[in-house]
Amino acid sequence: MMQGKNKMTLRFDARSVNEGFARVAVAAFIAGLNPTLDEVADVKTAVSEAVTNAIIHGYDDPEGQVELSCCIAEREVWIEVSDTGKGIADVKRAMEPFYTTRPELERSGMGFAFMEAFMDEVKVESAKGEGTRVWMHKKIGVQEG
Amino acid sequence: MNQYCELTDDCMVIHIPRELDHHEAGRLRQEADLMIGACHIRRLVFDFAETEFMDSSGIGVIIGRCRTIGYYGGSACARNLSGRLRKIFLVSGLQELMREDQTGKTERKESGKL
Repeated sequence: MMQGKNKMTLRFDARSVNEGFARVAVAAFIAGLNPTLDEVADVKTAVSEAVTNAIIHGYDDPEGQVELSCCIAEREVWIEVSDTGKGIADVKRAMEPFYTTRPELERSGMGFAFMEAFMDEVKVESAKGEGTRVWMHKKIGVQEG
Repeated sequence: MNQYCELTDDCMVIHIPRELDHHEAGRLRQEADLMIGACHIRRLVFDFAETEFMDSSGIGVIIGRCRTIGYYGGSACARNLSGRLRKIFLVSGLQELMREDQTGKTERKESGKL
């Protein structure tokens, strides 16, 4: 069992190739909590959703920066994904299942629904023209089966 | 040579890659749409045998291909779903849109990838 807190922060370009990098980095980082395969998959999916949102919706410029922070302690994981891009005009609406502003990209509109399904808590703060911050929390070791 | 799509006698199998996210989805979409249009495909099989990760971007590309084959009057089904993928199908509602074929096994004829 890991003692105390452990934190990390990554900063990367808003390029789609970094979606895989981000979720694999978080999966490796939380390995110390001894999560089940299903818990790792849940966290990877949620990270992938948040990072993809930042890349697709936050910026038009691939040199825009996405910041991913992760903190683990005892049996809990906190993840924060932020960008300083366009921001979301209506966060409540953006979080509705199937709502998307980019149907031409065949976005399913399920990103936030996936984050909420696979994490225990999801909070979103956003300001138009300033960027978006997604905060997620999950307890590890409480899943059955 | 195709990276994802394989034509068989009666259908086209789309071999979903190991990880299907937004980064991978664009290439899969491009190849699948080209094949569906050019080869008059009426039956589509999504084979998840190799798939270890899929997020909502993957759901988007699958729903899109289901719609496309629907326009042509065809049908789509899923094969070799792992427990994890069944969960993804359940959360997204994709299981309502597409049946799971549990009878057939599809072996990739060509072993090489681009």
